[in-house]
Amino acid sequence: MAVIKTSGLTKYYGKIRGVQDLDLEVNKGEIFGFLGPNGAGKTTTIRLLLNLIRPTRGQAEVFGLDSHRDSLEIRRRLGYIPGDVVLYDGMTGSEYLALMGSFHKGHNGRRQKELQEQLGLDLSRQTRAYSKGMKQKLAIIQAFMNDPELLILDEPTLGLDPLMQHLFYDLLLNEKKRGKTVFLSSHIIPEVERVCDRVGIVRNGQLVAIERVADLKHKKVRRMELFLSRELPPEELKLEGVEILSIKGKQIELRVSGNIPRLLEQLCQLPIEDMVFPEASLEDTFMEFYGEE
Amino acid sequence: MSLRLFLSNLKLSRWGLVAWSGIIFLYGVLTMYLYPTMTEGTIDILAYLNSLPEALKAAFGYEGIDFTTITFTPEAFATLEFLVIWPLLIGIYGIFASIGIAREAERGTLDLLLAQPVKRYKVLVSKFSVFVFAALLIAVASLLGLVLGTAIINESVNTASLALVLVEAFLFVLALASIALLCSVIFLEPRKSLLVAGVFMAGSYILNFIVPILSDSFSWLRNLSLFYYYQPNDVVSSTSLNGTAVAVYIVVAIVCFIAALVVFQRRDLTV
Repeated sequence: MAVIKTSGLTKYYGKIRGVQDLDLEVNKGEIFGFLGPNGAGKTTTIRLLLNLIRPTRGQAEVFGLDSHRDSLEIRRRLGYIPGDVVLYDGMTGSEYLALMGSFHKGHNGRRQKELQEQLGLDLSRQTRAYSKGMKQKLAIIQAFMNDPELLILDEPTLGLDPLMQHLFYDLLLNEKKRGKTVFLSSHIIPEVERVCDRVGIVRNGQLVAIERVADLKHKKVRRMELFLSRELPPEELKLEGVEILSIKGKQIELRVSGNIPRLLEQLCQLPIEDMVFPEASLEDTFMEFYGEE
Repeated sequence: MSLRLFLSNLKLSRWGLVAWSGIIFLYGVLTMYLYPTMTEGTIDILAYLNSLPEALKAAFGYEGIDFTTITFTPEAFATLEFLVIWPLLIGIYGIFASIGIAREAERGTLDLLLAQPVKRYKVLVSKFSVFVFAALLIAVASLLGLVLGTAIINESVNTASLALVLVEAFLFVLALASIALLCSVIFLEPRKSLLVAGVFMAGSYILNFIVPILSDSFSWLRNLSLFYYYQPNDVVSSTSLNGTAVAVYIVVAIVCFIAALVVFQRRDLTV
């Protein structure tokens, strides 16, 4: 069952494109990564889902409800962390949470306390005295404390130290185990690789790919560096499943996407002194999507 | 209205409210404290005021007042020195308070608030109610200041007539604040909202006090000014509210507030 479904979702700010013809489905119980370069339309999509802005055309549904018409009912069932967490000055952390919790009928003080203890945040301090990371922790507590069915998270680990990031990933995976759905906009590829089931990649306001993370891992692009004992003319470097990225004298950089054993056989024919073949990373795969024209 | 949101916003603006109420209270006390000093040379002062050029009198809000007919009672003194400029002072506070929603949109605090299950109109009503409450408190502080100041100098004052002027002044400020609120939700940018609301207030002042002096043929324009309907001297002398003024202020306030609700309901909250 789709928790989020958009059909032809389009938003223009005057003549400036936000997103265009976005068709997207996020299923119940999955963590969906939403990736794209700056200005690609990630935040616009999130704001459309939250009814903070209205679509120019097309439709967005959350829990099968219209994101505009049934916005109130939708917001009762979701938790949200904005990309840039700005809090009211002149309030303590607990006052802020009490205000945000007051809009939810099932506001759960026990869950708030659990999260506070897990994240180690002092709620008695004024929010203006909070560091960026502390503000982020407060935003995490407010998003999770009402036990929402859906979490919409825009760069949620921004400002968190590595320890807290890992704690946050555990929180996310725990929510997933409990059948909750997560829509996660992120720039951090290892984060996506670690927690997401599927990813959607948006570029220039359009969805360019939706892939299962497991499938993407199989499509990983690997780079290889060869150090030869002598220079070779390019025509002698014809290798299957390989693209030559650069030749600098005796140093050659390759992009490998083919059959590795076959490549090794071919490499044995070359005067190789040394080679570097690092672990494959999703980052290069994503960069392909990001940079494609 | 969301009570929690109202109380939270009241708490956030408490120091500003305390400052405004305290200053206006002290200003009221001081005004009446100076009354005997002024009355010692009453004839000269009134003659001096009467001799001012019409343009200068207009700029101070004294336009059309024949000072030779004025009995310099404490009420008249309070009106000339305090109540005439009260809507201007509190109007500025009202404009700044009412563009709060634009400030929140610009800062980003509105994002997380509107992502909660709360209706937009409740947010707007709760936030505007804080200003209404604040303006009422300032009006009460003003009255208390005037009454206390009068008591200090062992004079008596018609509290009811001063209260009526403050009711009219409060409604005037409410109308101004509603206009600022409408600007705020239309632009969702504090500087632009402040500029447009400020220009409206200044324009309204000029239409009433300056334009008629410069040109008789354009004097009808003063009917469009909110200042035109504010006549504290008449309220004090008749000890009754001016029905037209009350009606104009209430209609402007309601129309602008409803328009603000409608605009805010449909407004995109862009980043």
